[in-house]
Amino acid sequence: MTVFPPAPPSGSRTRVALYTEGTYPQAHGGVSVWVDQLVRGLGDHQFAVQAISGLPFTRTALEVPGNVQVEQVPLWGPPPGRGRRADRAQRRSFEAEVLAAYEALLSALCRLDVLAFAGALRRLSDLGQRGSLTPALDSARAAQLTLNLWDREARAFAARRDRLSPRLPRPTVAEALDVQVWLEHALRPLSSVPPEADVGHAVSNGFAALLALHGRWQRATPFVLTEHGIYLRERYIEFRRASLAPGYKTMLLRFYRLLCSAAYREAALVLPGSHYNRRWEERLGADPDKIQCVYNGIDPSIFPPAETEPGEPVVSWVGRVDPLKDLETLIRAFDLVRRRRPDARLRLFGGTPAGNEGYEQHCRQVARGLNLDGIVSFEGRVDDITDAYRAGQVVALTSVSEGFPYTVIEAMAMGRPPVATRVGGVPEAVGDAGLIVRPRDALGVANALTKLLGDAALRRQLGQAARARVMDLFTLDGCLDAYRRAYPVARAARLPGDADLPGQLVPGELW
Amino acid sequence: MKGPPSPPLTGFDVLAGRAAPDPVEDTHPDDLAELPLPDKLREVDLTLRPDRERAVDALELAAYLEADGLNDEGLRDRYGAGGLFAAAEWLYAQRGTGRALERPRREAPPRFPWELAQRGPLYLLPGLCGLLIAQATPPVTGRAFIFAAAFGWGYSLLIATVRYAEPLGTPGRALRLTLWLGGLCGLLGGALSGLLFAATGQATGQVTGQGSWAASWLWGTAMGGAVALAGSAAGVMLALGERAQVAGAFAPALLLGGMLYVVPGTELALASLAALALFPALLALRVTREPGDLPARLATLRPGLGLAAYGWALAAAFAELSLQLGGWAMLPLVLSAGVLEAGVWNAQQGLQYVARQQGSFTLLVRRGAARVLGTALAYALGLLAVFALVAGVRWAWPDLLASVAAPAGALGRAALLTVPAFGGALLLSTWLANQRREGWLLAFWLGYGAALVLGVSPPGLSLLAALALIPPTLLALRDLRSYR
Repeated sequence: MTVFPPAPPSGSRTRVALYTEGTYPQAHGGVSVWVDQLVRGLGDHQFAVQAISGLPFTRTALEVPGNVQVEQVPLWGPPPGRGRRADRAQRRSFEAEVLAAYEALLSALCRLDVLAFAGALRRLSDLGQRGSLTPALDSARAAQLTLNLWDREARAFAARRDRLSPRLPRPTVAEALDVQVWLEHALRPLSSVPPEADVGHAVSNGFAALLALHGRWQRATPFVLTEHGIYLRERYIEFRRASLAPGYKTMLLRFYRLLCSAAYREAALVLPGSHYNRRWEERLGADPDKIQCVYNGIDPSIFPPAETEPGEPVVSWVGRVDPLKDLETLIRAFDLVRRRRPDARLRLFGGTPAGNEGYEQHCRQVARGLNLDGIVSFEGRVDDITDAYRAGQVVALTSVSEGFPYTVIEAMAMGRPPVATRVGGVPEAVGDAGLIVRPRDALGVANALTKLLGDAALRRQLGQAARARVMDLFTLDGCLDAYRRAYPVARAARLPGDADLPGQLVPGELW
Repeated sequence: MKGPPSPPLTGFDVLAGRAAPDPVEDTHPDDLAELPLPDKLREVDLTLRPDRERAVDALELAAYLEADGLNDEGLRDRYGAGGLFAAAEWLYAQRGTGRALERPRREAPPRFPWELAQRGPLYLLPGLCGLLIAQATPPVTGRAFIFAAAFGWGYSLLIATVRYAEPLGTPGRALRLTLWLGGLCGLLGGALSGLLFAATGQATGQVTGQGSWAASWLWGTAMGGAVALAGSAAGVMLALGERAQVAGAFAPALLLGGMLYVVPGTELALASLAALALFPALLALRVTREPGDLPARLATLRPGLGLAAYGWALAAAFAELSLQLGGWAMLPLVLSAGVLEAGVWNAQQGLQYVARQQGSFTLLVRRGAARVLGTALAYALGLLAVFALVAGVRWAWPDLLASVAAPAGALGRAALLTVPAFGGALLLSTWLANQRREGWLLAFWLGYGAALVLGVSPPGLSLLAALALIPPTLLALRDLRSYR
């Protein structure tokens, strides 16, 4: 649980630079909901949101309140402007500086050296304030540099590696080019202008944290880092089924790994959404004293106990259609449930984000192949999410990776017992108020669902325990209060690199 | 509350049988591989092995173990593996890890995209409709048509740039902007052509009186607008790969144009113009229903302006060459425009294929040069074969092609040399334009056009153009970005 000093008196208007990636305000989903609750709940704070997106977005998915300003930081689309005009000699000199920093970054990637990586990023962050990095990073010299340096490092590494060392395959030309293009886009946030703020807040690691690092280096803005899921772990899982070229995959994962480690080291506070995440964070270099768990919270009045349950045995699933949610296992498990309860139905509520249409089609085909057409229904997004929870006697979640999922605690608040997989913070959320099963274990999911569907008394008992657990541990007020206290702590914190700033405080000493 | 200072156990610790890492320990990490896995962990390894062969580090295996339901406590308590990260390291240290990363990638070489070859005749459709209408309407429409057709050449390159600015979706709004803007430019250009024609016509006595002047201006405006709108619509549909839609879109205008050829009349000409403008535009609107993410702003079009200017310079050179050799001599180039595009596409796919197989720069450039120059040579020889075939037919059946204005005699021999050489140059130029060399190419083709106007012989000039494009091609092939 979080133990922060008391919140400062209301009236002091803290300016928060809030860094997001692919979530708020352009997309729906758990993290977007969380950010929306945060900015609305902390109405006495001023939020300057820098939102990383793929292409520039034209409309927001959520209505932005008055205390929030949004700036887009797209990774793709037209490159950032060149900045102030410069003559040819100045441009060449600038490009040479960018390439020198890029070379240091590549070298750090090949050697998995987090300090060198952070140093190179910081240099690029400085240069990004003088002009766009794109002309240099997209140049023929950068392409040649990527191939030559990577090839040289891989050959040298092969001669001295042992069995535990990370792999660094020798590149093909195509891999080197793909990495160069990817890095040019990945480094574009460093050409943005960080907002003036008292404190920064990255709502995930990865690119959001890259913006936080950029703000810290350019504006000396200390930042807190929230992690709902473990960013790096999710990238590994995302790449598991992707047919990426080996060298390309290797370099991208190295970039994410070093970026995550650099962010953990530089953050004033690391605030995971569950205790489970600590292991990865510490493993990747976070100081244990800086890690404080803050559970997600919900407004219990929005999720009142559902008085009655449907007459038929119905299982609800709520979320976005995404491979990380492993709907395939749920559908296969439900096929087993149907053999014992032929009248059972599975209702899947939630939208399909752009890019996941193929996965939805795959899940539909799995259902069709099991003759579950009409029995497993894809209901899409619903206006009132509570209807989705009311629709089932049991709520299922079969994700292979989760932080601290809202769907579970919302269902629990409404008295619906969950059947959920043992991933991330899910066991901490569910406690003894639901059934926990292994991920990708269709038989285990089926057994748990069958047990609950067949035992009304157990459902009632677990449902009551679930509601009580949420009221005790996972309310929105508790979550907001934790952040209201965390911001001043981060603001007061001075990290080892801040020697020029007064007051050398270590965050752990503040509570 | 402070977190527990608990450094996680590593596989190495498990091997050494200790609770905390000892940096002075002399055991080598490779020894971990020799330590037999506990039975339960070996079972895990059986299912995880394909992933292990592709794993880049031990953390990747830790993520997979968790995703497969094996968490820290379970691995420590039930699998005897010392926890999540220890188990991952232990598995990672086994033989075979990362083996697939070093395996050479096997794939079939790219197939020639013959389906793109259909695009050549499709490019001809707006022009054919325009020509059928122009032959039955006042002479001013011919001028407006030439303007609109040349405009469409460069403008279609701009449309393609807009389309590829949002490769994963359909940039509907931005493409619709190009459609309307194309029509507007055609109207303005047609109006200007009408004005110029009227002015020169009055001077030469072809246009007399206020009414005739206004009619010329209106016909020019209508023809310019209709052809440019239809050309833009075709560009939009082709950029989105809607070839069947293009064929359907021009069918009404072609039908009416054919009737106009047989029974000339103002009403029918107006109906043909309306059909030429209307149906392709409607179908282009239909295929751009999705709004896409790309905004409909002039700034969106700016990145494509360089390519468009290059296209206009190329169109001017082509038009000048047509004037010197005759339209029929250039017909094989228009009809085979799809083959040319397919060739460029195939050459680029070939370069990417080579880049996926190669880590050596020298070999890469050598094989890349063979691909690109070989494709240009093959295209030129293909055109030469077409002319040889036509010449053969003319020799065998002298009366067969007499009805068409096919080049004969010295002009025919000039075309026989010029068109293949120009085709080869065109292919190299198209490939270079794809490598972002459009600024240089703009100057190149303007120079070519100027040389033609100044009276330089077309065969020699075209051969020189083809040869002159070889060094920049080789230079571009030394730029790794050409292999993307």
